[in-house]
Amino acid sequence: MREHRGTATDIGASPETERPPVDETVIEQLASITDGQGLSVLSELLNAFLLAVPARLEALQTAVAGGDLSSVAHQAHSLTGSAASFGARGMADLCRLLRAAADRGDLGASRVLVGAVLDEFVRVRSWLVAFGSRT
Amino acid sequence: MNVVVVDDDPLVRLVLAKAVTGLGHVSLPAETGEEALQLVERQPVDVVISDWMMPGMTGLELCQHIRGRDSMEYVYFMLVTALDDSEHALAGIAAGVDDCLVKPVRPFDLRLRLMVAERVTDLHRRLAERQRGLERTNVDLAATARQDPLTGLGNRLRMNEDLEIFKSRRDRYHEPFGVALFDIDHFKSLNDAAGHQAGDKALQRVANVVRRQLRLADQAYRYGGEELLVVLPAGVRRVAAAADRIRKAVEQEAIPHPGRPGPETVVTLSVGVAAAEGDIETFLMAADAALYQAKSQGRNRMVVAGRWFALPELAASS
Repeated sequence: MREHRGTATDIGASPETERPPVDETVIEQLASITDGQGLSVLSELLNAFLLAVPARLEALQTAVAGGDLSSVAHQAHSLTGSAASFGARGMADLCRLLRAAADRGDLGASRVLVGAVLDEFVRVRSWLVAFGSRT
Repeated sequence: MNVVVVDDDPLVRLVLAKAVTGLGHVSLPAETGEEALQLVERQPVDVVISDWMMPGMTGLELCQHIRGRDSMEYVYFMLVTALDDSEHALAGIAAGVDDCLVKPVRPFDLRLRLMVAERVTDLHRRLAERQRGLERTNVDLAATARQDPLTGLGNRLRMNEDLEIFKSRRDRYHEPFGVALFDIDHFKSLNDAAGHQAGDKALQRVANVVRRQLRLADQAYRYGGEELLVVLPAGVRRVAAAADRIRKAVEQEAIPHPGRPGPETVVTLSVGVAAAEGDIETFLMAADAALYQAKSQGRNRMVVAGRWFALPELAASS
């Protein structure tokens, strides 16, 4: 996780990226969820996402470093759902590819894809943080 | 509604649970299918929203478990599948799933689907209530259809059913029983002198005396107009003793009998007793013949059909 941070931040900040890492319409839908008092729970949901994902990415790295591809496949599947629920489509797509690579036993591709997922998460995080300061 | 939200992914579960709560429902989050099943078994649950692919029990297996329960309460089952997973959606619906949602679930879609779920579960609840009501009515009707409205005793239908049961127990377990057929003496003269309502009243009072004299296993029925049949699970000697006890109790009740010919002024019974041997028709005819004999011997007495033994204790007391 840590070793990727430098590069990832560069990518996240790069202005030439065409597609935003997060689908804003999904975030708008999440913003429509309210608590008992009718207040939006969006910030609570985004915080939960930003807090939970790094630990899971670390676990993913550990699994791929140890060559435990069945664990990689399971974790990648779970992360697909998490990322998609928060509009991180690119991250969800990469997780899906990672799962497929792990399922067919391709450790090399799995390593590369875990790196790509980490990088993409940094982009997602920057976008969400920027979104948070915007609203 | 109580809504169980099942997903192994904590973030997906969190979003769904918050969305459910925000729509005014109670969300019950579960991490696995097994956990969800426990929730369903422990409390009333209206809706389950379940991920398809989970370690351990899958969403489809969870649905099958819930559908397999012996419960009147309907659980509306929503399966969440991936976008390109129409095959799983089809298999799910075929296996008892009510609705399929595509990941990631849009809160607005969830709101619409839960409105449908509420309507369907409400319909199921009302159907179950009506069903319970009908079952109660059926039980009541079955009892009413087997009771004589005037005396409250069993009617002929009930008598025929019970006699079959008595007979099958006799044949299988050699449990003897006997019948006593009672008839109110000179009943027609009571009706003629005091009217049919007085006749009905007298019949009711006789039935009450008979009922008081019975033991738990004994049964009494209104056999015909003023005829009552008592069935007792005992040998003919004890049946005869009980029948004569009933006859005397009615006499001692001193129910007025206006218009009665002869010296008597109260309601009395004649009774024919028979051991329940052979077919139902056979022993009922034997009791009837004994009753006829009791009538012709002067009424207010008992005759035991085919009596091949003496009943000295009865002879001495009457």
